[in-house]
Amino acid sequence: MAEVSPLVILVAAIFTNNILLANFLGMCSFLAVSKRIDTAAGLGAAVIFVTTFTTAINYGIYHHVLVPMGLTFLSYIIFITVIAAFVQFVEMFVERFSPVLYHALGIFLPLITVNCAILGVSLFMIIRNYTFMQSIAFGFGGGVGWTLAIILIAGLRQKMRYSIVPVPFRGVAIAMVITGVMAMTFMGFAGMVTIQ
Amino acid sequence: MIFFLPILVFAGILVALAVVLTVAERLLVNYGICKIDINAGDRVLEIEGGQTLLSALIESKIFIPSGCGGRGSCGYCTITVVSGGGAVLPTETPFLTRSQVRSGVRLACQVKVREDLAVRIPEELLNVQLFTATVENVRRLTHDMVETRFELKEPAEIEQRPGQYVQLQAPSPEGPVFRAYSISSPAYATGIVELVVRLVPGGIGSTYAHSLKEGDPIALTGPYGEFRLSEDPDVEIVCIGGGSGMAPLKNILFSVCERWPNRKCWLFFGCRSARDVFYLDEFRELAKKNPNFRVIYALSDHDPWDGEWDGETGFIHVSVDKHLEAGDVKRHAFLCGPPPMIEAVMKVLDEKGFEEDDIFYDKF
Amino acid sequence: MAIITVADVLKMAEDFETKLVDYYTKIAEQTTSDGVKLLADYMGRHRRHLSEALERLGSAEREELYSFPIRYEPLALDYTCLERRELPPDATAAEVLDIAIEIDGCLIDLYRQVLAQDVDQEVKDLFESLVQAEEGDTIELKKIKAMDYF
Repeated sequence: MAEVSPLVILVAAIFTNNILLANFLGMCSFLAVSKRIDTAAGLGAAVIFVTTFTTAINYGIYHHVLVPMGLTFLSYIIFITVIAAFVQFVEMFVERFSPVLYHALGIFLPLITVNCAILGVSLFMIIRNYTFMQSIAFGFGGGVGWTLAIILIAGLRQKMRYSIVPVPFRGVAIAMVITGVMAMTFMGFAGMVTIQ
Repeated sequence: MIFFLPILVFAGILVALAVVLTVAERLLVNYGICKIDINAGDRVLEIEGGQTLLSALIESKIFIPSGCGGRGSCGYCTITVVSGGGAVLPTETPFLTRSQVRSGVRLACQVKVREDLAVRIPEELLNVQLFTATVENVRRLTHDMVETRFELKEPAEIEQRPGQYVQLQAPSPEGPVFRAYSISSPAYATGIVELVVRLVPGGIGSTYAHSLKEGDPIALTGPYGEFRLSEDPDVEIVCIGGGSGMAPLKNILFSVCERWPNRKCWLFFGCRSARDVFYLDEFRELAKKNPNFRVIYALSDHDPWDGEWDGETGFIHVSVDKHLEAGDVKRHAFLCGPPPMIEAVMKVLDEKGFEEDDIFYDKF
Repeated sequence: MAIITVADVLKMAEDFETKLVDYYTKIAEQTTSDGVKLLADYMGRHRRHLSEALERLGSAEREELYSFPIRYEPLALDYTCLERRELPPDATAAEVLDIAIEIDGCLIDLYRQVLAQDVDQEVKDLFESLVQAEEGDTIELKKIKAMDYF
């Protein structure tokens, strides 16, 4: 994968290979927090931050510790641990420097720990053999893509409060349906750039 | 060996992460020792940062009134934060008016101590203490009222002024809460605290107070309240109460008659029927000792079947109107009872020439 | 289903409060019992939680809040509770207090229904403070009732 420019990967991660709409990763927090644009944006910002840095850290650990020692099978558990520790760190950081944001994010901050999109980004990075710069671009792009998707859906769901939704479809069900529709729309970007 | 390598690597990474997190916690969460400056240098507390202002103050034995125990649902623990403390949080706004927000009023239970703070606390609150006590005596006054007397253990004495109140700690499903009750024992009885509590169906505090039996251990904080009785013996004291609004009046009258045995004072008290009357004998006894003390009880709903009634009938503000003469005597009135009664009495007192500043009241 | 705005909900509550004030005034005039008169008189003058809550907001803030849409349909918002209420003209003091407590419950219910919808933080704050005011009122009324003075 060395020949693809990080910029292409960045664009691809946001549009064509959107982690949420193409891979359907990170659905649980996506459905839970996509009711209002402002909290969605807050959570998205935290996700961007965490994906970018955890891919960088995980890249280092994977290529400089696990691969030389032949312990690549440990990558899952170690990635999860790194993500959990990093979220802890971000939580402390946000609480210290922005109590208001900390209050607004509430329970969602620790929830990022179990956001599979973040683990997914780290794992894709390995499967696709990205270089360090490519990994960073992919991590950042993945986060941005996830944020873009959640903000779009939040906007739709905010509007949807005033539409007639059949009773069985109310809430998460209709959100899943529009996510599917949105995923199909995003397929329109498919020809733009290609990464595997 | 091949089996140990993954374990070692994994453990190594865990340890590294733990170290990083511990260092981060040191730097980020540990706010070090923060200084809380009370009343512009009156007292400076040095406390561990990171906790709430309310718990920091309680730890330093400054008891801000708080009903809900720090959950931000009662809005009693207001305090003026002069500097530091960050922005007002969404959890506080429902309890604060705009002008309060502008002047820096915050809920102490929501403010986290992250830096040096400067706060203003009324002088009165700095004298508040936490008391442990045991129930010395429980006396049923009427079908739904009890008088409960506590013997103070630690500290063993309370310095209270008539009209002040304490907060009794009561258990609730969500942890301990505090409920305010006026002290009914006179100020000179420093070893005890006596409360008069009417049972409110479903009320946490009154249900607890009614469940107490002799020997039960309790905890209370106090005294709270800024009311000051006039020290001038020429000022007449007019106490007017209704329903269960008795506790502060009893404290005032007994304290006054002890200190100034000839000071002129009045007690007007309104009940519904003869079975709701209480403390009448005690006050008549007191009136024998102080010839200038007049006791007037009125029944608003007297039923002749209950027997002879030698007091007044009708609502208490009518009796006040009847017995209290207008004149240029200096008088202070202390009112205690349900808000509609207080309003009615205020109107009468206004006609009698009372200044607004000379009327003090305590709704309930 | 229809969309109404915060202003509509508030108007509804306010109309209801006005109706209540009229009712209490009428009771105070008609009743033969001094206690009921005293009580109704007092309650008629202390039913202004709404305007008090609104006064706390600036006028620009208020305008913005007013236009916020609320979903109105039997499932989402039901204020028939206010419309159905029969107010007996010859109530006793205990009955007046019971009615007042029930009415507070009704208003709390209405406000809670708004809160159950997805609303902006500002709208939430306003309605939460209204719920709080009414809940405080309920406690006061219960205490008045328990005091058994009237």
